[in-house]
Amino acid sequence: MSFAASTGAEQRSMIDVHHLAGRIMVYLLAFTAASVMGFPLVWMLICSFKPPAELIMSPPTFLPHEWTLANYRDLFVQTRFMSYFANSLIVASGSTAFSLVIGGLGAYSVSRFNIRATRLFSRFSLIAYMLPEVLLVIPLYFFLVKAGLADTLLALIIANTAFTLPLTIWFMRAYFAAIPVTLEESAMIDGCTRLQALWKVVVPLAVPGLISVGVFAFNSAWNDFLFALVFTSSERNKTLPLGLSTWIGQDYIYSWGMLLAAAVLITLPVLAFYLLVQRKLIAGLAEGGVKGG
Amino acid sequence: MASEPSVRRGDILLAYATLSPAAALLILLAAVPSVFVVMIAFQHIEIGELSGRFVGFQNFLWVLNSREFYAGLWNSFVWVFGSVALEMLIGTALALLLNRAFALRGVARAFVLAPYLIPTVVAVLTWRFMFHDLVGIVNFLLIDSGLTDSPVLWLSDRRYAMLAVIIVGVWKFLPFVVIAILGILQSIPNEQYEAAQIDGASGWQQFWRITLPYILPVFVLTALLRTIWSFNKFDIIFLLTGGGPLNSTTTIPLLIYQKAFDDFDMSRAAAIAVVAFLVMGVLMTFYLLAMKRSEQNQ
Amino acid sequence: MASVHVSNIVKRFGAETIIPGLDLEVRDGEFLVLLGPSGCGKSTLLRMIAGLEVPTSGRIAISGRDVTHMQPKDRDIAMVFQNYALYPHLTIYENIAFPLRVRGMRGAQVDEKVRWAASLVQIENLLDRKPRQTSGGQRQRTALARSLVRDPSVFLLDEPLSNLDAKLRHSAREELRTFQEKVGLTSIYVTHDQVEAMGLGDRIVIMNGGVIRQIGTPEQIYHEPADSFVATFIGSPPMNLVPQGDRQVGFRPENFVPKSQTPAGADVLDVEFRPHRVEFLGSDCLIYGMVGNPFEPAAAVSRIPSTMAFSFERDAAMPFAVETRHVRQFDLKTGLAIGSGAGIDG
Repeated sequence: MSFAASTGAEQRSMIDVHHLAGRIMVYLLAFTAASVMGFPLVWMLICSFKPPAELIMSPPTFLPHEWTLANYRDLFVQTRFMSYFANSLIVASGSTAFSLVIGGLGAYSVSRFNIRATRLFSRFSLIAYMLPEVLLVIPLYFFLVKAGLADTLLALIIANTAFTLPLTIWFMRAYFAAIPVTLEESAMIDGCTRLQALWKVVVPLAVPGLISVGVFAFNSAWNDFLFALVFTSSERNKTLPLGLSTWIGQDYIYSWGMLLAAAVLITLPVLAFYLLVQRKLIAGLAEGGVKGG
Repeated sequence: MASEPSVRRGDILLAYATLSPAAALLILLAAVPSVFVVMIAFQHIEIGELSGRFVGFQNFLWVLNSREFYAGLWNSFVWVFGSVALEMLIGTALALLLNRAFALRGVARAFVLAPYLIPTVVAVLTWRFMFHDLVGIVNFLLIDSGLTDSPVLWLSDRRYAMLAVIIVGVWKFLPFVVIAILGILQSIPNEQYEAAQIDGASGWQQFWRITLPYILPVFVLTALLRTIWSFNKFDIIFLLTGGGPLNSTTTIPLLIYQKAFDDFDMSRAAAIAVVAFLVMGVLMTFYLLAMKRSEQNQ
Repeated sequence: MASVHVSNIVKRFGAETIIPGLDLEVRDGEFLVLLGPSGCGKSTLLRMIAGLEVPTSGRIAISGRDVTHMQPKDRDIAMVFQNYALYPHLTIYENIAFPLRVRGMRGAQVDEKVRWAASLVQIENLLDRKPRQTSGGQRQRTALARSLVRDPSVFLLDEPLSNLDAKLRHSAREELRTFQEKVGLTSIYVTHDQVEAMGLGDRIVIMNGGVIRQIGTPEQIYHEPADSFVATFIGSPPMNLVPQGDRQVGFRPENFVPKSQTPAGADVLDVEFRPHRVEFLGSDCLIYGMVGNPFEPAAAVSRIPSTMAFSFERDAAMPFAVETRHVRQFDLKTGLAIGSGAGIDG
C-alpha cells in the first residue's frame, strides 16, 4: 500500500475504495451471519402457514403456495395445547416470583454483608451451578416421590427456582452492588431500619435489574425440559416443551403443521420478552456468564 | 470498604435471615442430592426400590470395565470438543464483526442472538424438520446445488448423526459466546487503538497486540464454561436423536438417563454419574483457577 | 444542650486497630472540623458518632444521652454524605420529605416543613425536579434542606464539598457556614483539605493514625503547632523544618525573609540562605533554596510579597532572618513541640 507516487486526490480515492471494499465485506458477512442464524426460525414461521399437504411435498416449496391458519386452528382444537400452555405459564410465573424474592433477599445479603457465611454461600452456589442436572434428578426424583410431590407443578416450580438461583443471585448482587451504600445509610439516619431502607430505597432503584433477572428466570423455566420429563408423568400436568417433545418423539410425523404452529406460539413470549429487555439482558449475560454463572 | 457497611450486631441476624431461604433451597436441592447420588453409587438397588444394600466399589468397577461407558465418554468428548471449538471460533468471529458499527446492526444482533433464547424443543423441532431426508430443506439445498446426489439421512445414519447434533448445538449456543466476547470487546478503551494508530500500527497489528490480549481471559473463561455446560447437556441430544442411531450419539448424560429411567438401574447410573463428575471435576478446577486469576487481574 | 462527648473510643477492624483510644468534646453550637490525611480515622470517628459503625469499646453521648449502641435513626442527628446520598427515584420535594414521612407525618404538616427547609436554602423552585436534573451546588443545598427538616441536635458532614469543582467549592463553603450560623446547629465536619478546615472551623481537630494530634482554633493550630506533623500539615507551603542537633527548628515561609526586611530592633535569628529558584504566584513570591549557617545545609522556602523588591544570584549566599518569636522547636525523635506553650487541648 504505497502512497509515495500518488497525488492527494488519488490518495483519497484509494483510501475510499479501500474503505468501501471493507464496508461491503462487513455488510456481506453480517448479512450472511444473520441469515444463517435466523433462517431456521424464519423457515419455521413460514412453514407454519402452509397446509399440511404442502408440508410433506418433496421437493419442498419455499413460500407457501397457499397461506393458511389451519395448523393453528387444529392445534387448539385437536390437541391439549392450551393445557400445556397454561401449565407452562404457571410453572414459569411461579418460579420467577420465587426466584425474585428468595434470590433477591439472598443477593441483598451477599452484596451488603461480607461475612464468612455469605462468602461461603457465593462459592458454593457457583459449584452448584456446575453440577449436571442429570446427576441431580435421580435423587430429586426419589425425594419427590417420598414427599408426595411426584407429578405436581409445584415440584417443577421448586426445582426451577433452585436451579436458576445461583445465576439470578449473581445478577442481582451486581445490581445491588451498583447502588451506593450511602443511600441506605442516609435512609437509616433519616429514620429507617435496615429493612425499611432496603424496601424504600434499594428495591425501587434495583427495579430495572430485577426486571431483567425476572425475564431470565421466566425464560429458563419456560424452556425447561428435563425436570418436566422426570417429575411429571400425567397428561394433565405436561408443560409445553414436554408436550411438544412427545409428539416429535414419534418416528413418522404426519402433523408437521401443528408442530410448527406450536413451535411458533411457544417462541413468541420468549422473543417478546427479549425485545423488551434487550440491552440489559446482553450486558447482564455477558457479565454473569463470564463471572461464572 | 467502599461498598460494604460495617456490621452491627442486629445486622448479622439480618444477613443470615435474608440468606437462609436461598441457602436452604440450594442445600436441599443441590447439596443433599449430590451426597445422595454418591451414596447410591455404593449400593445395589433393586428395580422399584429406593435404597439397597451396600456393595462397596462394585458399581464403580463395573463402570470402569463397561464398554458402554467408554463409548459414552468418547461420544461426549466428540460432542463437547466439536461443538465448543466451533462455537468459540465462529462466535468470536461474529463478535468481532458485530462490534463494528454498521446500519441495522441491532437487527443483525437480534437475529444472531435468537437461537439462544428459544426453547430447546423448538430448536430441535425446527432442525428435525429441516434435516428430514425427504421433505427437509437441508437435503433439498444440498442436492439442488449439486453437492450430493442422494438424500442424507442426517438423524438416522450413524455416520452423520453426531455431525447433525453438533450443527444444531453450535447454532443454538454460539450466541452465548458472541455475547460474552462482545461484552469485553466493547469495554476496550478507544484510546488504546488511537495511541496505536499514532504509533503507526496496522489494523492487523492492532488486533494482535491490543484486541487479542484483552479478550483472552474472557475467551478462555467462556471456553471453559461452554465445555462444562456442553458436557452436562442432556435435552438437545435426547430430543434430536434419543441417543441413537445405535448409540452413536449417546453421551454420558444420556447414558445416565437410560440407565436410571429406562433400565431402572439406579445404582449403576449413579456410579456413572460420579465417575463422569470426577472427570468434569478436573475441568472445573481449571475453571475456578482461571476465574480466580482473572479476578485478581481486574 | 446539643453537645457531643466521645470517651475512650477504641475501634478495631479484625486485627487492625484504627483508633487506639480517643476522647473528644464538641461544644453546643460550634462548628468542629476533623482534619487529617486519608486513613487517619476521621471518617470512622464520624460514622461512629452517626451510628453507622459500632465502637469496639468506649462511650458516645449526645446531649447527655448515651447513644453508643443506639441505631442511627434514634440519635436525632442529620448527616450529609460526600455524594449527598439523594434518593434518585424521588423528587427534590420527596427527598426532603423523606425523613418526615418515615416517621409517620402526613399531609399539611409535611408540606409546611418541607417548604420551610427549602426556603432556607433557596431551592423552592426545584421541588418538582429529580436529583439528576440539578447541579452539584443545588444537590448540596437539597442535602442540607433534608438534614434541616427534622430539626436535629447534631449535624454531621463527611467531606461534602470534595465533589464540587474548585470555583463552586468556595461559594459553597460560604453558604454552608452562613447556614450553620443562622441555624446554630452543633456541627462536625470531616475533611482532608486544610484550607477548607481553616476557613470553616471554630475549632479544628487534627488527626493522624487514629490519634488526635491537636485541637485548637485555626490561629492556635497555625501559630502553635503541637508537633511536627501538625506543623507540616497546615500551611502551604508547609513550615520549614531544619534539623539542628537533637531537635528540629521550624519557621513558616512568610516569616523567613531577607534580613533587610525584618523590623528594626527586633530579636532575630540570622540564617544564611542560598536561593535557587523563584516562583511568582501573583500576590506572593516563593523562593526555594538551601539554608546554611547556623544550620547544616537543608532545603527551605521563603515567602515574600510581590511588592517586595528582590533580586538574587543563583546559589549565592544571602542574609535572611526569622524573628525569634516565630521560631518553633520540635523534638527530633517524638516530633512534639518544645516550649512555646503549645499543647494538645485547645
